[in-house]
Amino acid sequence: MIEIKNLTKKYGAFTALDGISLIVKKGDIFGFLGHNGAGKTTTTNMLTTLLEPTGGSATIAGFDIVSQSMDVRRNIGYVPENVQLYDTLTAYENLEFFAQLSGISHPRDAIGETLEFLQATSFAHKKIGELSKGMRQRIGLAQAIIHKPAVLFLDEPSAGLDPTGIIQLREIIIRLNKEEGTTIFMNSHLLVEVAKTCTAIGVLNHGKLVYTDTLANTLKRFKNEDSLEKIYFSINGDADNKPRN
Amino acid sequence: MVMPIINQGIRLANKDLKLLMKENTFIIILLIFLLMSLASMYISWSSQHMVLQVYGEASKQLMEVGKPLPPYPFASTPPLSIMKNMIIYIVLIGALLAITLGHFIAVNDRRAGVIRILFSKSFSKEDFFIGKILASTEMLFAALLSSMIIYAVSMALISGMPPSLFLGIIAFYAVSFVYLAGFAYIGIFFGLNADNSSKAILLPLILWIIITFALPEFGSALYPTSSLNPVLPDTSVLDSPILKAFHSIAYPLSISEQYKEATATVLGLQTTGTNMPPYPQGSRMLILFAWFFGTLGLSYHAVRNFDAAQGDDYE
Amino acid sequence: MPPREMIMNRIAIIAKKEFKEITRSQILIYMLALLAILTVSSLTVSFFVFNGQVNEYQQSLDMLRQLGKEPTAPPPQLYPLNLLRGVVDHIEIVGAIIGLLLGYISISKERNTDALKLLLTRPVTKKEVAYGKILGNSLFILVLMSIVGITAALSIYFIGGIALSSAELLKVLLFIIFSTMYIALFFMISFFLSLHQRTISHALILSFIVWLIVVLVIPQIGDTMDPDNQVQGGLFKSMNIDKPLEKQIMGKFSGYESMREFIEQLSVTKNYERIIFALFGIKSTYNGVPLLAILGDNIGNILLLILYVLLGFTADYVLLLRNKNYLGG
Repeated sequence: MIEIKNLTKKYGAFTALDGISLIVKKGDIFGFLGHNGAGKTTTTNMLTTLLEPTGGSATIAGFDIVSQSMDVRRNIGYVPENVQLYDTLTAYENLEFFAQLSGISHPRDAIGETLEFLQATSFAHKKIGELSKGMRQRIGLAQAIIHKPAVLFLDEPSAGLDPTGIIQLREIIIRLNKEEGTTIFMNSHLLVEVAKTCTAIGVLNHGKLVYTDTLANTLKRFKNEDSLEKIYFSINGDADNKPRN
Repeated sequence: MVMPIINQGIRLANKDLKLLMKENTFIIILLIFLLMSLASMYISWSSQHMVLQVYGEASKQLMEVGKPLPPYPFASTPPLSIMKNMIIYIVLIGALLAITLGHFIAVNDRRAGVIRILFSKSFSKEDFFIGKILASTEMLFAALLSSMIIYAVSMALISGMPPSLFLGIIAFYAVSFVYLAGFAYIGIFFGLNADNSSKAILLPLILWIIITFALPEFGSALYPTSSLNPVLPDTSVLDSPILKAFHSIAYPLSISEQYKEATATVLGLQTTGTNMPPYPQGSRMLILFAWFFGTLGLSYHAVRNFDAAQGDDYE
Repeated sequence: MPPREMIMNRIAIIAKKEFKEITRSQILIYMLALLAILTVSSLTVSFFVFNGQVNEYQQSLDMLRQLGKEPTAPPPQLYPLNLLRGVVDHIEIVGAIIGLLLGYISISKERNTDALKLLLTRPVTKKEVAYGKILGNSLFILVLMSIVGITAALSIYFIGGIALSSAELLKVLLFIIFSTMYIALFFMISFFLSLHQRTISHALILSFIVWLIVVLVIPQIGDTMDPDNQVQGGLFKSMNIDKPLEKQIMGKFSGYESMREFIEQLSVTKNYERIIFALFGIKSTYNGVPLLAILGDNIGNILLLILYVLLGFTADYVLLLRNKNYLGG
């Protein structure tokens, strides 16, 4: 579903992403791990066509991210970190606008269905500015899945959510993957969440992809480590970030 | 489903206009603008009325002492001279309205932090440009049309304007549209380019001040506040070769002066009497069109170079 | 240290911090540069215009002499402070904007970063913060206006070759004081709006609306209502009516004239302009009039300017003490 070949992004002399290659299979929930500044958001920005690579290539659902960017956009949904939306419009008005932009000319049914799926019908007619962070996150998710994309990109989806919000979001992601067959690509810091949600992982370190495999294989390979956290540190080999125990 | 490009632009424009009508600050400026359209008519009318009363009184007193009657003050005044105040209000309030209009339309997606979401949809930069230009142009058109209706109706009611003058009013508002659209597009340009809201609103305002108050001073030694006088002052640049050189560079760039002269011509009023070689009448409209298309081009440039990945970093 | 001195010390610390922050603001530096360029260039343009007048007079004089006649018109007289007309206009317009920006920056920086909450966890009261901020910014404006005044005096000397007399220098000093008060008032207006508004960029736009109305629209309405401004070259001139008769006629319309006067008094810009135009003799009837007489003649305008500044100060002070959004209660 996602094929990345030698993808590179340079800003002058600085290399933000250094020739990564990766395949995410259809139906996977892929967790993209790495410390701050490792290049996760840069990768997501390029895969969502917001940023052009300086080298290499990538396809999503068979479409090239540079030469067929509009086809890519029709096939993806994206929820950025700290999604805010137009706060003087209601949740419904926001969704109507984004649904229309996604090519749904009569979005009423699609909005109703999506809000129900996300259990967000009760606050559909409230202004975004009046919603809690968790509610807003759900509307952010709704705009991304309303057109039933093949791939959904989530950038730090649980950032700023309370424990209940995190659990609800996890359930939604898993249901979306199981019921709709959506392939999910998520950047995350929360290793616990990745362990509970993802089927495959990739680890990025200073712009280089240092590891990728299914979660099952990973757990098998590192059977001596008792948590994904410890596995992450042994993959990353980053002494500065290791816990001291 | 493939959407024709214009549809996406219209959708964005509709959303932009909906958001704009919820911006209290913008609504305040719009109301002030419309209110001043009404007030301007009344102020001009009452001042002219006053002049006639003064003339009557002066005639009476002069007759008493056996002096000849003075000439009628409005003998050579064209009928649309009552609109000369509106020229100044377009330059002042109209420009502020146009700049804030362009500003709000440009920054609403950035403020909402949805730029990355927008450009992850089947939505191109061309759609974005069309949407922003459409929204600002539509709103400016609506504001000027409302002002024109208010003006024409009140003029007909107060001073009994004959319908034949209506064409002059339409021409005046058409020239005003070309002038103000440039400021709206400048508002869009800075709204997309600046990295914070203060710069985004201040830079176009500073540009307006330079165009309206500083350049005319270099161009024709016109004092900044003199540009507000409804009777355009006689400025004399005299024979200084340096001032002549200043004039030839600064005057065409004084867009607000070009606008004032163009509309004064449209309304059949006297224009500034400089002793510089007169610019051909058509050149003023050419300069205003160059301003319109130049600023349109600038806003297109801003959209083309807009970094969608960083677009949400704003405050 | 006695408590009073400690308070003064804390106010001074806050004022100093304000001063430092202003000099780090890029946008404000641009505005200051703009004002500096406008001051010098406006003076230069004025000199060119005056030299042009002198040349023109000289030419007509030569022509008359060639014809064997003696000139009757007096030569153009230079009152050097008249040349500052453009500078006064720029202070009215750009200076007022600098005031607005100062008020906006003073609040927005701390609102965006919540730094004021940190400040208030130190042993400092809201009152001290209010005094410190207003003092720091007013001092900055005073320094700025002093630079403008000195630049103007030096420009007159270096570009025009005229040294100002001590009486004229005293007028420049008064100009600095009145200009500081005028700009400080705009600082207080945007300071108030920035504290008051929930969205800080809206405060900036609202400040500009106030600026537009006070600085440009009201004086423009006043000018338009002046019958003399309705006819090119002046109504009374066009009717060949002399000053005494003009006064006599206008006396019959005192209701209209006081209405016009009232509208103009609503704009502090007009008060400021009248004071300075009188001081600098830009209003020609004040040329050669002793300073005290000029001030006495304009006492109403001076008192109104002071009143506006005091009102602005009180409004800011009260709002800063009461405002909960900004200070977190």
